[in-house]
Amino acid sequence: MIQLLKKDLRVHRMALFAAAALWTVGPAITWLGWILRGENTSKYLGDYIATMGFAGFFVTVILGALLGGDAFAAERRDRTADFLAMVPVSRAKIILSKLILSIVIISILWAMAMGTLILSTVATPTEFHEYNGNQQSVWYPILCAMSLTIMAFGTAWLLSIFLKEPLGATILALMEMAAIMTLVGIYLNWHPMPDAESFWMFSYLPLFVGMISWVAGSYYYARRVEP
Amino acid sequence: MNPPESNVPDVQYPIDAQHITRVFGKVVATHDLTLRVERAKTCGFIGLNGAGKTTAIRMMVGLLRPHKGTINIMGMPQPAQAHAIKEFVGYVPDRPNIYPWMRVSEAIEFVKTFHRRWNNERSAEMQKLFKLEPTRKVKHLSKGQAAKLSLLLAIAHDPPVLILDEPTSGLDPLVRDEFLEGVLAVTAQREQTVLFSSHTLADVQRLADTVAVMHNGRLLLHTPVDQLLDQTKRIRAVMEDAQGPHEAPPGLLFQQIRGREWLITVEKFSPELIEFVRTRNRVSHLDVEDMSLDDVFKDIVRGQQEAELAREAV
Amino acid sequence: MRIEPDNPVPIFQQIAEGIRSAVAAGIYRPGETIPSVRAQALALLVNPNTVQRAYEQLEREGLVISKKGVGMVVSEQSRAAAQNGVGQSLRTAFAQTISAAKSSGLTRTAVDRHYRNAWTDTERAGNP
Repeated sequence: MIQLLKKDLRVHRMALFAAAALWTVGPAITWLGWILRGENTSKYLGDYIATMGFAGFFVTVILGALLGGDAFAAERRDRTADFLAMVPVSRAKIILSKLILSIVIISILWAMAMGTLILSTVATPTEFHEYNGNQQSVWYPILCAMSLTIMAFGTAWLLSIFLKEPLGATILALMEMAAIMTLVGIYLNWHPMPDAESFWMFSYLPLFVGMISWVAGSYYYARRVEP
Repeated sequence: MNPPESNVPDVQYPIDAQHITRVFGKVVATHDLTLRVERAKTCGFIGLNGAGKTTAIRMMVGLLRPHKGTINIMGMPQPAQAHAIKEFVGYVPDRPNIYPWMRVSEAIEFVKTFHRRWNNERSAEMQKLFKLEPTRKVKHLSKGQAAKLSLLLAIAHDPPVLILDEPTSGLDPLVRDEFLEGVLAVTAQREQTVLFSSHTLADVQRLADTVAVMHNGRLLLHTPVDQLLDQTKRIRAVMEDAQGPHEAPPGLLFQQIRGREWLITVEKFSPELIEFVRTRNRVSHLDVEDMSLDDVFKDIVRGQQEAELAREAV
Repeated sequence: MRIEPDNPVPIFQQIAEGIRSAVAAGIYRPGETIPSVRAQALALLVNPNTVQRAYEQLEREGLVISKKGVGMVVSEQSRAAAQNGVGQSLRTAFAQTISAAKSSGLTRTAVDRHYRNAWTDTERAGNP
């Protein structure tokens, strides 16, 4: 298993670098800004940090699609999938290794985004804390983003099983998500949600789509003969 | 690392493909192909490019599912028991497909982890024989060295079945010999069942016990090499009259008429065939030539191609 | 010893002839072992079964004897047997050459003349 993880770490290097690059730039500047603030403690700094935190959660959606798309298509494109197929290792283990890697990366990204958001509450002077009365509503966009990340990952993963080009799977997954979100937006325009809570319920949908895609894809891949 | 030999099933035909058919869209890659290789024998698998050899091999090795038919490797069904079969099969693909960023030592470590039957001595012996530098990355290996590494990774777990897909194609003559030495170093024990496809018919003639000829997805023949070369002969007739009729003997594979010279390749030579040609035709001289495997293969295929053209013309 | 796959002579016979010639030339002396099947197969890059077949033929001819634990040992009568065997293949080679000559229309006298000239050529080239 360790061998598989080490191998996958190297195979999916580009996706990992993309994640690392986006997150060294984002929080680095943000947290640097906070450290170097000097006497400037203002609402605007807090807002800026909060924005970066939320942005981080949404950027993770793209990274989820990147990781999912890379999963099987990368090795198929490089023809190393054949090599792996001839080694006596079960498909289940191959899948598990890639899943573990993806979960770890996405979790790290979410943790960093969360950390940035927590920093923003520290950075904002108490009198400007807008969410005091309604703590829960700050979770809506966060959980929505997490749900969308899982959908992006699951869909890209499924596509990666059929396509030979990782970026193709990634882009297709994102396009599919954009299409669905547009349709949802149009629907909500005609049938607006009664309250914020219903809107939050709605974000269960991408979560399910993502998980079902992942399960269906993995099951099919485990049973298929071709690597 | 080596479990007792009783784990290895004793099977009369370790490679047993029955009526396998596989299509890709409209193209029939293999049609009703039945090929069995007997234990401890080496089968040379020959055919033109596109004849279906690689497809057949990929199905035997468990990389492709046949649409019809059954495949048993070491008595176990493929691809149903693909996982169990991998321990007993060594596969060398037509193009090396090892992770290019791995070093030689890393690639060996990687594969070794998953094989219970890994033989460290064999691995070390082949590394020395092939002069593979442990720290060199696979992408920096020459074609020959990459092929040798593929062979090492296929053989080091002492598989009773070895399947090689055009393993020496594109290798320079010296490296080719070194590669074959590597194969023989292991198979000279005469315990392994080997199937290899090749365009170098001289190699097949030297190394194979039996030869299987594929053409357009079909198996034309599978016979011992000696027998094929004994029975397939070329009759060279010098005709009195170049324009006259040429009545060919039965068992004709291919014929060529060049002026007065008439070359007849027959599949089951006997002296009666000479008599047939002599009595039915006006010949001034008759000769019988032995043929190399290269000659036999080419004439068989040419004969097939002519027959196909004739069918299409109808 | 080299194996020529293109040569119409079957490979196992080429191997047998090679060993016969070697024994006749004194490369392997009575009592010595010839290379094992495995070593020979590796040296010539040939299927070991083919080497086995060649060795079995040589054993039948009496050129070598299989000794358990030692290998294939050149027999005492070997040199004569080898020369006899070489003689056999020489005769076959002559028969083929004569057949080719005849099909080109040469007479026996012409063939004999060419034969004598060939002897003279090799002597001049320095081969005793």
